[in-house]
Amino acid sequence: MFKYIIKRLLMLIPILLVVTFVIFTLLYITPGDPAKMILGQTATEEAVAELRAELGLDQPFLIQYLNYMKDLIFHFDIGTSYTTGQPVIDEIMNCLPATLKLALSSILIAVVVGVPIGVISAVKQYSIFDNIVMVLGLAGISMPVFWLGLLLIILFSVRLGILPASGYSTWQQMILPAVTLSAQSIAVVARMTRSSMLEEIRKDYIRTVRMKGQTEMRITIFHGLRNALIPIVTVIGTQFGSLLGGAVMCETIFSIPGIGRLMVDSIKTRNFPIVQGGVLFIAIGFALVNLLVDIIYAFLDPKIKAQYK
Amino acid sequence: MEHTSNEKLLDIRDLSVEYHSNGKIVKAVSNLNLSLKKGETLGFVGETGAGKTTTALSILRILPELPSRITSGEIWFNGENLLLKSKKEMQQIRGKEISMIFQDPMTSLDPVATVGKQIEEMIGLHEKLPKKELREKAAQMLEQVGIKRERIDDYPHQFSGGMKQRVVIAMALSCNPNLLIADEPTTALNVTIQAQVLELMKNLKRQYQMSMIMITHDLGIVAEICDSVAIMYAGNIVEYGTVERVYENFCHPYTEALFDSIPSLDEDQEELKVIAGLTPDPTNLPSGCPFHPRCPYAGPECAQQAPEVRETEPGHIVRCHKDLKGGSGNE
Amino acid sequence: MTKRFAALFLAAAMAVCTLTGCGGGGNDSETSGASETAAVSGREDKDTLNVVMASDAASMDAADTIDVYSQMVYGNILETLVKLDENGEVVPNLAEYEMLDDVTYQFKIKEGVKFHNGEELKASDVAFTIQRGCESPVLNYLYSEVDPATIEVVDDYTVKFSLKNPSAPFLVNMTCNPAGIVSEKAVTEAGDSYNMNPVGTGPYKFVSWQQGTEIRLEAFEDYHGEPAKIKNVVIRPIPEGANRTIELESGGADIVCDIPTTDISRVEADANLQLESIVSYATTFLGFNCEAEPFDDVRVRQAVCYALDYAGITQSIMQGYAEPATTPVSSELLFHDETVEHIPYDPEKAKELLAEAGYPDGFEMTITCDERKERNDIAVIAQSQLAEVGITVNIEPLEWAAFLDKVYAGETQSYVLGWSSAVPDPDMVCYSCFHSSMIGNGNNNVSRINDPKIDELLDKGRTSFDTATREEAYSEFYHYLAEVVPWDMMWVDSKYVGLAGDVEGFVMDPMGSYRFATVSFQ
Repeated sequence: MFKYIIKRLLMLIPILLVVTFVIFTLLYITPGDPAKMILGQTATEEAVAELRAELGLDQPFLIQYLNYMKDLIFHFDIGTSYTTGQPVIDEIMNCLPATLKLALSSILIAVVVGVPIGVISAVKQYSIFDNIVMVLGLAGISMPVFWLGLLLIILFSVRLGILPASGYSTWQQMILPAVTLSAQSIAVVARMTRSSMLEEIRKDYIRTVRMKGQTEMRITIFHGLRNALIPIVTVIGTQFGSLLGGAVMCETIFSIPGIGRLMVDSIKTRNFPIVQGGVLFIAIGFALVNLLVDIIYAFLDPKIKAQYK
Repeated sequence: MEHTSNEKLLDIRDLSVEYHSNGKIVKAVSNLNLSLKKGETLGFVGETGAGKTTTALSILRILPELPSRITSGEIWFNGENLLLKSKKEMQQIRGKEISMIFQDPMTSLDPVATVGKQIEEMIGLHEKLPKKELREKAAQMLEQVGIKRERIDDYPHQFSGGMKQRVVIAMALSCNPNLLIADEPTTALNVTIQAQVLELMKNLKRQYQMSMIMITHDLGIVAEICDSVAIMYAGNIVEYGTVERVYENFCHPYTEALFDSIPSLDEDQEELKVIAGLTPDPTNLPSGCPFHPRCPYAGPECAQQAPEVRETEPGHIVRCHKDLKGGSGNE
Repeated sequence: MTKRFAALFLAAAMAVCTLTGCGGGGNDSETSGASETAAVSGREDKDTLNVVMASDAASMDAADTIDVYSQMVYGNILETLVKLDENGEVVPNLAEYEMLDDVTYQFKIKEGVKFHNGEELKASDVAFTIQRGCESPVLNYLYSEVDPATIEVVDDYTVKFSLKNPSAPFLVNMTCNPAGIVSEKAVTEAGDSYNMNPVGTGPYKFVSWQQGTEIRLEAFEDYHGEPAKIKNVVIRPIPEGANRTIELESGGADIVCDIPTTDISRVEADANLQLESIVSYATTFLGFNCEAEPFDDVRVRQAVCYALDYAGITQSIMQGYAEPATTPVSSELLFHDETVEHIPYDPEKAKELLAEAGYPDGFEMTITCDERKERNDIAVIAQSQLAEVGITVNIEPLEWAAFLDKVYAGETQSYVLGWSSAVPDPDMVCYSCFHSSMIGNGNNNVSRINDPKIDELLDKGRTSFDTATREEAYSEFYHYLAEVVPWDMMWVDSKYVGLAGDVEGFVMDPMGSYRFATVSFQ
């Protein structure tokens, strides 16, 4: 198992190489001049040229790329932000706590709410509960984050005044953003749990356990859910991965300085080093989440564990 | 002949079970009567879809909740009507008094639990024992069915089909039930393994002094292991009696056709003999006797009226209008 | 059946939510008032001023950035050599100035001024700051005329330097926040991390910066002038406009910059809050490409101006929260001329001019704009108004940076753009946007207008040191521009700031970089 993990981590390297090359190329060919964005309307030809030279933007593509990779590989240096002059790694690390807090609390809510709902829905298929869950699930997936977020702010911050509308330090501040962001994930997790459970509880071994005289509750959870977990864990993993980089709307509404916002702002201002660094981090994050999910598979399914050599 | 007492262990009276699906009603079992004495092994024969498994599941009351409905009848077991028992009471009976083995060993075991844990679960549900003892008992059961006790921590996927079925048997017998229902336990296995498993079952049956219902479509198995046999067709028993009597003096056209379709070792057959027609549509059973569309002896009354039960010999009943005196031998 | 149920349920849910959001428009001042009273009457912490702005600062170093948010912070930390008084005249701040000739400036620095690190302000710091400014591309717009070789520290408190060419606006530019004087010691010692640890002579000193969350400032006890009234300042970024207003209403912030247009009336109506506004340095307009057909013909440009109702468009989009503009630069800049008139709305005249120019049946054109709603709205309204005179408009919305690229490359026919002046002097914007030497190569003359009369007037405005002459030059320039219309002006933006009821002494700034030293609580 340990060897398997090492192997997977090593496989990250070619993936990241490809990612950096692709993003580098994309940024290079995209219209828009970072120097111009920084200087704004005070720019003169002179100033723009000087700034471009300072930022290394006047070099040919390959030179720029090789310089970047050289710094990355030999010095672990992913550059400095064009707008603040701060090392990119610092800027990203500054955003990480907020992003992680938001992503973790959202996924936690999604799991704690979504899985039980899915299980009950599956066990009581076609009941009123099941129907309501299906409808709410549809709503959850369809509700835009900014709409739901603003709505919750109006209700809980303005009208009722019981929850703060911005910030991320205290747990009270995290409630609204985490709930807003979790809406879609709850729906996805619940639906997957439901469908996976429906498949499992129809299987023969469930009948065997029932024959043994086991209680329905334990059958559902320790046999049904236990076996249904693999697709559920998969979906939780992908949801978490996308939360890591994609919570821009939520971060904007609730003033949470996370990676999503950093990325969008940086793309707008053509702050290449931050965009590249950010994409790298998100790629690593995704890869690690995938690895974690695969490791969890091993613990869930002994057949899979045997395959990891 | 096995020792059987005259005491009835299981007595099913007038059982009817329906399935509801897509707005249609399937009459799986219609007014079925069947009984089993202590120590007796009953062979339960019929085509797929005849209602055998449904009957078995009804005894344990583990029919799929949503679509199925037991619409009438009583199932008397050890002097009590199982259909009136509460959920909790049934949970105590299942596994302890009545156990069941299912058809496909490949899917009968929980893939993520070790075989040891699965057997321990069975025992632990009915006997309060410390962990160590549970494990010891599970290991013993494995040995009983011919599996090395070292394999107690292996997962189901590490066993072959035949061995899985042995595990299933070990599990089913671990609490020493009074009645074992075996639903086509060897159908999914190849012939040599089939023989081994059957042998095992015979030995265990003797050892544990269990009553058994052996559901099968294989008349050979019935001959080998059963005391009595019930032939089922379209939701009801059409012939019942001891194995000797039925095999030698079968009275129902369907039974005749079943025996007929067994390929003969002596004759030179080019084609297998099949029973003409198809199994009846359970949502739309034929009127009168359900076999009449396929019966070579059918007369006008067969379509109009369902036949009553008739005792042709003591302990040998048949449900037919005709008086067919067939058999492999003579009267 | 379930689908129908789902649809009905969702419709009901959305209706409920919409009602929650909409309802109570009129009651808001009461509800917020009820919770506000508690905050105002009996302010507990009179030592802390809570400020909210729309975005986090990018850097504390002017040499890195001049964006308005960073300026708002370092503008309180740094001080400039000179400042503007109420009449728009340049007066001494940290130093007195003297012009030795028309390109040489000598500054005599006030003695005893302390930096936040305890060091005294010396001429060497000023020389260092100016040298640094010359080397920074970001500050090029302020220091481009300075000849670095001529920077000379005459004595401990005197410094002098010369420009390459005479520049009347130079001193005015020196009053801007980015021209603030930095401590040579602090910059050289801190090196790369200086932009997170600024040191200046201003009334507030930098305490801490938790990026994305808050910036803390503290009053500087050894300040050489009138000390700041409130000891602590906390500045927080809240990007979502509605949230900023909520902070103000809930008492979480005392000063909130950039109140969104939709909330302005609410804040105004709230008895417990104050609304301040000021016309800013930014204008919005529909620009033409004067090098390409058909807008190389001034009559066509004029025709478009006649066909568009600029005042109506402004009212419709900005709902009264912006003033229609007559001049290419904001009315708040120096040398504004109120007598300038915008071409009036006269579709008949437009058709006449088009016929004259050879387009009796109109023509097809493209308006390029960026993603912002207001800019898009201008294009949409223009499209329908121009259709009335036979001009068919295609709208081409682009992402901001791509938009800029295209406009600057001269590849657009017309574009919706805004321009903001970084300094109070009109020379910077007017020269860079209309002088013929500023066409192409990434320079700012995006309308590509090449007119000797314009060049002459702008050169005059730049090189005459006599205020009256300058005023005359710009006046003539604005009038002329209103005729040749390289830009069809729409409006001048305004800035709106919300204040808590007990905030006093707050001074509005057209740039939006507010200073807090004069602010106090009642």
